[in-house]
Amino acid sequence: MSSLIEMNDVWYQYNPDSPLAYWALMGVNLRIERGEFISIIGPTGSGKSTLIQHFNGLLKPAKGEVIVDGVDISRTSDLKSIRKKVGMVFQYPETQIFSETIYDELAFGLRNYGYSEDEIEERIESVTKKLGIDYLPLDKSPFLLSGGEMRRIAIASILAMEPEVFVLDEPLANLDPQGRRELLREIDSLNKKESLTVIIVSHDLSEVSRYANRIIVLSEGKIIMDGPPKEIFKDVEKLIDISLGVPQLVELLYNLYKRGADIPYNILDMEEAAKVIVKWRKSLGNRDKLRTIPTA
Amino acid sequence: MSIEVKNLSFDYEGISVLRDVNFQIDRGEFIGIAGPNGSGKSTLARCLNGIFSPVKGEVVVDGISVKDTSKQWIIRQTVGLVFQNPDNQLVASIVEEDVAFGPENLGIPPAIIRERVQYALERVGLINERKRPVSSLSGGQKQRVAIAGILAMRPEYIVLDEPTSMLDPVGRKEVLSTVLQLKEEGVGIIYITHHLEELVYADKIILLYKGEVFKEGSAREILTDEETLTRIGLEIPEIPALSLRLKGLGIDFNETPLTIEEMVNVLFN
Repeated sequence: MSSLIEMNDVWYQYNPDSPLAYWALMGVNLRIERGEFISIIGPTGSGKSTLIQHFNGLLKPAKGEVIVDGVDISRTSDLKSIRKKVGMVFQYPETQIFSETIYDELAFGLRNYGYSEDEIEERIESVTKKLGIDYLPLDKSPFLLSGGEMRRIAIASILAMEPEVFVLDEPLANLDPQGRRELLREIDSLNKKESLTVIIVSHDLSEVSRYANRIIVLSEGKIIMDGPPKEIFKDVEKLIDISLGVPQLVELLYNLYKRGADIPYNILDMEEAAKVIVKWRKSLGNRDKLRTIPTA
Repeated sequence: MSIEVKNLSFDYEGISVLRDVNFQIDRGEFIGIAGPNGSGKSTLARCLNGIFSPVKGEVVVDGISVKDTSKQWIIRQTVGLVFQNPDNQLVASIVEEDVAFGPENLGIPPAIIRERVQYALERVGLINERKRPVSSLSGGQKQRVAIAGILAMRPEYIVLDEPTSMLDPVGRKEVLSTVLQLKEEGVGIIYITHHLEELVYADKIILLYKGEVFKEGSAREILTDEETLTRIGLEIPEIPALSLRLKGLGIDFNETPLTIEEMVNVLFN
């Protein structure tokens, strides 16, 4: 079976043939497999949004190819079926809500694809459960809901299309800590229980990196790192260099390491980090165990 | 000179949003206000310069009640507000024009406006970008332009309502360090956020929950109170959380570290 999404030497240019022309993607190669939970990270302007808009053919490469489930997006005349496979949730999706009732909002995409009202009702019931919003009155206006609830409605309306891959651009922005945790857990369980492929775009490496099995780091239109979180965090210096926030825990461990502590610093788990620090402190009694700091 | 909030209550169409809130902030002080979504933080911000008038109680700015509508202009000038989304606050297309907008509306002579714009853009570190189109700036830069626009009004206090929630990590640091510098220069800072790690340098933190002051105390007291924070749906920042774990494993601290720097120093002693 081919990869779910395959990008071969993809280049993309904004405002071509004008003085404002610039290359937003430069030679991107990428394979995304079914069932992955990927976090795409990069500072502002690194090309994250440009990249994900290639996944469903909103943008087409100037050079190179993008193949989604075996179909080349530049050659197919049926982008509709690709957009059904690749569910895309943009930043602040609640600002795109427009229907008069929650039900109509959730049904909008499904109606466009010609599903029967029975099927639509069934899907809405299932999707609201999955996102923990089945308590909401479906006949009420979505505009009376809290920001977090509106965010979930917008996400649910895409999920109701039953996509094969779910792409979310900064889904946690502006939610409070509890809201962030809950939404992230729900997305994680969609990945684990429903084996939905999940791709989350973010500008920091904090929460999402604890759930993702793979992190892709973009900088200036190129993929500069791609691997499991533990591998990515081994190169803290590089992450800080390109102005990415790293979790405070990792930054602390790295600072201890730089001052000579003989500890690993690619640890994302609080309890594990505490144990490592305590163990190192105990060994401090014996000064010989301090790692020799290389002279600059 | 201070802002005094006395038994402040506020309703929206009969729904109580703030109840009996009390605190005081002096010029040069940095107060953090934190609470989950819906706790009344943004409403409180808007009460501090009279955009909302208290239903019960009082807000007094340097001796003037915000209820006194004849003094509205003085109050708005004394207490500047910076909101979440920088795109909603910028009105002009060029950086320096945007910063000049506030003082122009106050009817200040052009020569003085030029001085103030210069001063404000220097304070936020954007003097070299003064001629740039606002649309070409990053989120952090835009938010700093919004702060400069407020500074050009020469306020004594600045209220920032989740100023970093739409910014990337670099933008966050830029805004936070600008704010800390203004505090040093004697401006009173009221900083509203649910990113508690941004409040480690606050003189005092007030936790709002369901419209009431749930708890207040020093940054060290509040940021290490994991139980309270979790209970109201907030999250203890990573370094204080680690400090508590280390304590549990037998490492003694005189003062629980809040920042990476503090933690590194303590652990190497």
